[in-house]
Amino acid sequence: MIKKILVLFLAVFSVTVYAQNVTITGTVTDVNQEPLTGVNVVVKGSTTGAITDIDGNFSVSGKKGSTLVFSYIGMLTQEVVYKGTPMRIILKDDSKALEEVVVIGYQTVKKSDLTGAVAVVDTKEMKKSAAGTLVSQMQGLATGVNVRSSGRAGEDASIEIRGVGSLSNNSPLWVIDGMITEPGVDFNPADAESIQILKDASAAAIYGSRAANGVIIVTTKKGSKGPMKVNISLKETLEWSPKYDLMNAAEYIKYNDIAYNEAIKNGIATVTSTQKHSEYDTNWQDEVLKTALVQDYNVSLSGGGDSGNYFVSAGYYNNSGVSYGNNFERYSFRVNTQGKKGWFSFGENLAYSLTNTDPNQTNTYNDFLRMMPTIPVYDENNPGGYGYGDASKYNTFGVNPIAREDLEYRKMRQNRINGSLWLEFKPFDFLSYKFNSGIDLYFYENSWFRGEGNWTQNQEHRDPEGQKARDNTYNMLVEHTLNFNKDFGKHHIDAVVGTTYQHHEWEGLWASRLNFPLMGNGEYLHVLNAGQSNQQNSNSISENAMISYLGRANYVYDDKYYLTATFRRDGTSRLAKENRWGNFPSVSAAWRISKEGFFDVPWINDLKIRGNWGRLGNSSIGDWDYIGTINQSIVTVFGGAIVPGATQVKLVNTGLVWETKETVNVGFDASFLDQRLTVSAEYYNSKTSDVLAETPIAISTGNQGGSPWKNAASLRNQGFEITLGWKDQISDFKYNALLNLTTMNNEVLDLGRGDSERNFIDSGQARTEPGRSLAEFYLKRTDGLFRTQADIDNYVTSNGTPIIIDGKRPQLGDVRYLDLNDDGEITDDDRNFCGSPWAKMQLSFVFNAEWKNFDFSMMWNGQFGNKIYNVSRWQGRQFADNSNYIRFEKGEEPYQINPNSNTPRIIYGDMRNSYDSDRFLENGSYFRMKNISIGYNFKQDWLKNLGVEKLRLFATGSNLLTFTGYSGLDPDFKGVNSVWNSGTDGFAYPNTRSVMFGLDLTF
Amino acid sequence: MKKIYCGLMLAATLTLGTGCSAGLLDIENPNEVTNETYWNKPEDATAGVNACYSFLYKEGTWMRWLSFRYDLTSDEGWSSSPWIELGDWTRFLYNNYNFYEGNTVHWEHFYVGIFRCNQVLSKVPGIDMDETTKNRVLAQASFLRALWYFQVNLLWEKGTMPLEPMDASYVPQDASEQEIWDQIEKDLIFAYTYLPETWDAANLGRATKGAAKALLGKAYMQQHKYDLAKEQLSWLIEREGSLYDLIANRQDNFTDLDENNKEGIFEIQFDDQNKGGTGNDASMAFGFQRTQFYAPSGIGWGDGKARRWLVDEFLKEKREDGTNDLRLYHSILYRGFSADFPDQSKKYYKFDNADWNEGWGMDAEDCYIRKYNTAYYRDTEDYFARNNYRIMRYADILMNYAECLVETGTQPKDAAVYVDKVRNRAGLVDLVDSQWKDCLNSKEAFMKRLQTERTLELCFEGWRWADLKRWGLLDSVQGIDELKARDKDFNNFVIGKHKRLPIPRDEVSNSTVGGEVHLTQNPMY
Repeated sequence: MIKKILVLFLAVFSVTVYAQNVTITGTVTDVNQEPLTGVNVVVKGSTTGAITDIDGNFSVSGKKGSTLVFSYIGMLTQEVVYKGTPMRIILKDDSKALEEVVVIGYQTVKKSDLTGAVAVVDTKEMKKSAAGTLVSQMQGLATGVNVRSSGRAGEDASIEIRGVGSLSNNSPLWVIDGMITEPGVDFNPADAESIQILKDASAAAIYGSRAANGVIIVTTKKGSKGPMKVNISLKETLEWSPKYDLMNAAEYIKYNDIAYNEAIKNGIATVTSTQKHSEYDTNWQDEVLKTALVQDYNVSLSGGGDSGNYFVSAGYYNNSGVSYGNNFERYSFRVNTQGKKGWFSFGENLAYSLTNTDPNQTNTYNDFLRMMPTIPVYDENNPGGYGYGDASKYNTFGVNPIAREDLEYRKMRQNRINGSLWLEFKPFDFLSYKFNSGIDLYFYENSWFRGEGNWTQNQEHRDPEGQKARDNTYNMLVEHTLNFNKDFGKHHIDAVVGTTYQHHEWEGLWASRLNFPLMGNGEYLHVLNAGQSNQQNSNSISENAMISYLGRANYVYDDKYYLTATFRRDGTSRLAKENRWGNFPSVSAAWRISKEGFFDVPWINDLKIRGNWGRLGNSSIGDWDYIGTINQSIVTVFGGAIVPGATQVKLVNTGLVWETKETVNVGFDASFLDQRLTVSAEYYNSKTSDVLAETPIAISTGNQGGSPWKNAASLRNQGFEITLGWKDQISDFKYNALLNLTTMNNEVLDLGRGDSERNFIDSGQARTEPGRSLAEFYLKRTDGLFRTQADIDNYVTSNGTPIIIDGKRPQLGDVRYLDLNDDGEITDDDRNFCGSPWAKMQLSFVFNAEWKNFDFSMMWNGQFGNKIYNVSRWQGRQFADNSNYIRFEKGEEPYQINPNSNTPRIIYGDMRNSYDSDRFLENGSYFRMKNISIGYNFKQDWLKNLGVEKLRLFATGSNLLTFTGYSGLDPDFKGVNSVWNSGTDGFAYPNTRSVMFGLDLTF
Repeated sequence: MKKIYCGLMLAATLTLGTGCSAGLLDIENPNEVTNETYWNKPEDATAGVNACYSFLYKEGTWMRWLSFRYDLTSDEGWSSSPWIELGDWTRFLYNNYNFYEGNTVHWEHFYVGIFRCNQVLSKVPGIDMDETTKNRVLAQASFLRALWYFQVNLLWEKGTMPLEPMDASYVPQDASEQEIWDQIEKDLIFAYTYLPETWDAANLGRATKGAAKALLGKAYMQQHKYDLAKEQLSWLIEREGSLYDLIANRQDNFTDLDENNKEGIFEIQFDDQNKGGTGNDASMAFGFQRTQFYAPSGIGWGDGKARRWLVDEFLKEKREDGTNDLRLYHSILYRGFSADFPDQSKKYYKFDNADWNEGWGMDAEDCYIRKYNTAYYRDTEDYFARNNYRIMRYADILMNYAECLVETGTQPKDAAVYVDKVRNRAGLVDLVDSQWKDCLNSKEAFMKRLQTERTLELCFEGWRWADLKRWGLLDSVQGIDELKARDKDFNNFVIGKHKRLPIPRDEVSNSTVGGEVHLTQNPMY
């Protein structure tokens, strides 16, 4: 299909060589006499045109007296009449265009005029990523931003800006082309033109209560003046997953028997003999993991004239998934247009996407460990025909992932239409009024079916069951803004005031039935109507609205002194009437020292310092969490019939108010050595108060459905962010490098539990307590093994009481846990804090180079100083229960074989050597070559005759090289529960390794 | 020109900014009515009390885990679950006081039940409705509240005692065992005053006057107030035209073939129409889940087993016709049962020969709980068994009554009449004609025999733990030694500690205000 389009366009363009009068030749350079490549040369009033080659030369057919139009991005367009001699054209910088313009919400400002912390993500760098979503492509490209991605096809990465400031929601606010929305997995990242991240309160305050977690503003591509440009981009990626080093059947049997014999020796009641192992030797990783093919195809058409422009794109993305039963595909389509007549202009951005996801029904990376190699994939004696645990041969409750993916069917499909429409009236050049409206509609379908058949030992019987869900989301936005912008001599003032109204509505429908008939071919009819019993359905609605008033004024004096004040007032339907409205002000100032007369440092080209304060809000709670309700879908049975009931199930706190976050930010921007070195640095300190948290209440209230929200906690986040940029050119070798450095420090100030003994929150291996970071590791401590009888004899409390582990005294080779509370028993009370899951420093490094027609780039990122709890290692070293084991390296064999090793005595049916403890806590630091890419741009003169403007071939390798001491599959993982267990690697899907080949063609 | 646009802007701002803006933010919850707008119609009262019954179908009640407390923790049963902690909570190894399935689930679910009753008891009096209907609603809620507090006392011997709906700031307060018994008595007296003796067919399953009196009798008995207990129980037994009697086919007390019969005093109306989860929605399951946990591998999970001494005890006495006591066959599945019951089917669920299967264990203690099985209508277990659970049945009350009689001075031979009714139905001769006739010689001997008679008739019906407590077996070394001989789990039993569970640790913590603990932990925990 795409080939056909390509051929068609090539054919059309080759026709442009027609009857010529004379050949006009010439050279285009910039003011420094450097040749300019790719300058658009058009004979005015015709469709004839050309593009300058690498030496700035062009040739085009025309007549003497023809006017030629020269245009180039970042340069002022020039019109020159051909007088018969070869032309020498010098294009001048368009100073406006040269200045990078940054969108800061309802306004744009020159990047050099910024007073707040705004990061700009280079979308060109993102294109080099093999990742499939906007968020995952942003990893490492901005300071203060933490992106964690996963190897699951169809799952988006998580993103946090400047740490965790809330306990209810830590996702930033996304504004795409003026519409408040989320990109998710459906957004085609190829459509993004620019991305800016508003990190501090002054930058984000214009978004008020929605902005506490930062704001990400995405602008999609637009057409530019000139003939139609066609861009075709094709990427093919091969992805594969890292694997555990697990035992084969013979090794597994050896160690499993040792563990069983140890149990028999110790009189573990349920064990009387070793397992009756089978002859099978299944490599579950080989059965489930495969090399995935990822296809990413994009075509865009763009162009425009004086009265308008257009950009149309279509994309197809397909990830066949590295794990059996997991795949994802996306079709996307976008139309962006703008028009202008006199003082009136309009624009629209409309995107449609369709995604199909087949998720894994089981965590296959957990199954690899829990399924022993002695279990066959298929076993006709079991219901459904798959192998799984058996009490006498291979006693495990692990899931056969092949069976589960085959027997359990789930497909998710989402249609999404998203876009905005704006009208602008600009009666004066200093004043404009803009009306902006947006929609974001999701139509989500989820189909699930399970036939008869089992995937694990001891599954209770379940009749064939089918479920369907349909969720529709309708988001709407209406905004009116008035913009003012005027210079008065050296004074510059611009301002915006406006109102916005946002409305969100969601409705979910769900239905299910049981007892679906089996057809002759062994397949079931899945349609719900085929289900013969137990019709069930549910329906619920969520709805909320927000009204806001906003305003911002910027004052600049002589590009030296900057002052900005912002104010936003938000009202939300999610809080009770009396607490509904919140005010979110901010002020900021900057001083460009380098412009002062007294500043005379020749090697410093620019130096600006800035500082600000602001307040933001958050009310990310349910729509009606402030008022108690009666559940009327309660049922009970009398006389064999179902009768309805009604009762209050969940309690609420009625007086909920806005969560507020106050931030102070100071920073500077500087450039040195003729702009070759640029430095930007920030320090911030933010405090969130009245943090909404689901604080536990007395169980005996009878509350169900989760603890009610309460304005309970307060948190502090602070950190430094530094960006260093360097660019230079040595003859025709051009290169630049960028270093991003982020530190983050998070502290819980208060959990709002007063002096209760429970002034902490436990979550898995972590505990959150005032005075510490959120969810620091809280584990039993160990001190090696008992290697001599004396070690055991000396294992007593301070008053000499023998210490008991799991009700018993330890034996040689057992793990020595520390009895921290000195009570003679190892229990959960012997845990203490032993490390933070939060990196002390995040670092990323981007390097780009161009030499002749070759380009090279690489991106490294890493984090340092964090701990990871390695659950897969715990599982792979777990002999108390059956699972496969992580292969022992030499010297690491268990105590029974190697009394000098650090691996304890292995024993089945006895947990004492398998407690969660610091033994499985590892250093999570890593530094990874995220991408390495090499490209070749075909020579202009080769392409010219084909009518091709640009053709680039490239190859990119992702995640191919990682330096880390972490023994799990991937130190860069996305936690299951991002805040509370962020450092626990609980069989997270590792990022895939990949090699991508691509082609980028523009004509 | 400028004016026009300013006007437009202003109009737009005003439209959003004032007039209707308040309205735009007033979004009513379309899913559920609010507390303020409910509780004003007679139907609200009925629905409210129905929701109280709905909580009988939850994991923390007899539906699933409560049997682990009463049947498996007692000397009747034990747990061989591979889930070690689950088993530990049936053998007095209580380490983590927050362990949900062993402790917190009961605390939570009893108090949710109480919360629902408290809503009815505090809101319904204000509803303008027919007084008889209103009183019946209030009486049912009182009965159920008493039933939940009864369980609180059996498990923890104290608690906190909210008697109206509490808000999120509620701080649990110590309520002693006696304070809770006093409230139970008050609630049950109110309940039996207003409850009808029977309900029509459409309302079968609601609490009756007889249920309230039986439960009140049991509450008195636990406090050793045998006089008062006798008075309540006699209403069910001695009253002219009593509604209650033993049914001929005893086994139907455990099936769905003859539910809400004259022997059933209060039953959970289990049903398999819904096959959803246990959440609070209209597809909520009403099934009995216990047998899924107790049935042997291949049918269920074998998490709970019977102690062997019960089998031996049954086999000590033959029926009048010389055969073994069929109650054994119907109560316990043990290796070699077919030799003892040659005339009974060896089929059990999908196993044509359930005597025996190697994977079920080869130890003498590997005896499975058969009572309440559903093999009579299907091949495998699931979470949706439809046979009612009889919380109280007449055979139990007869033996309770006999106990009250001897405890209040009646001669054993006169009290034995009520035990003999139960024995005769099982095909056994009267005690006076049996090998146990010496038990009629003294109160003590009679009580000892009654203790055995009760377990043979009532094993795995949830009363053994209350019985052991009431009989004082958990308070003396002698008592514990007796239990140890039958159930080695009692080797872990510490007198003064393990007769009650620890209060869930989180709840003790939730009751801490200003450093002061308002709900104190039980002694020795």
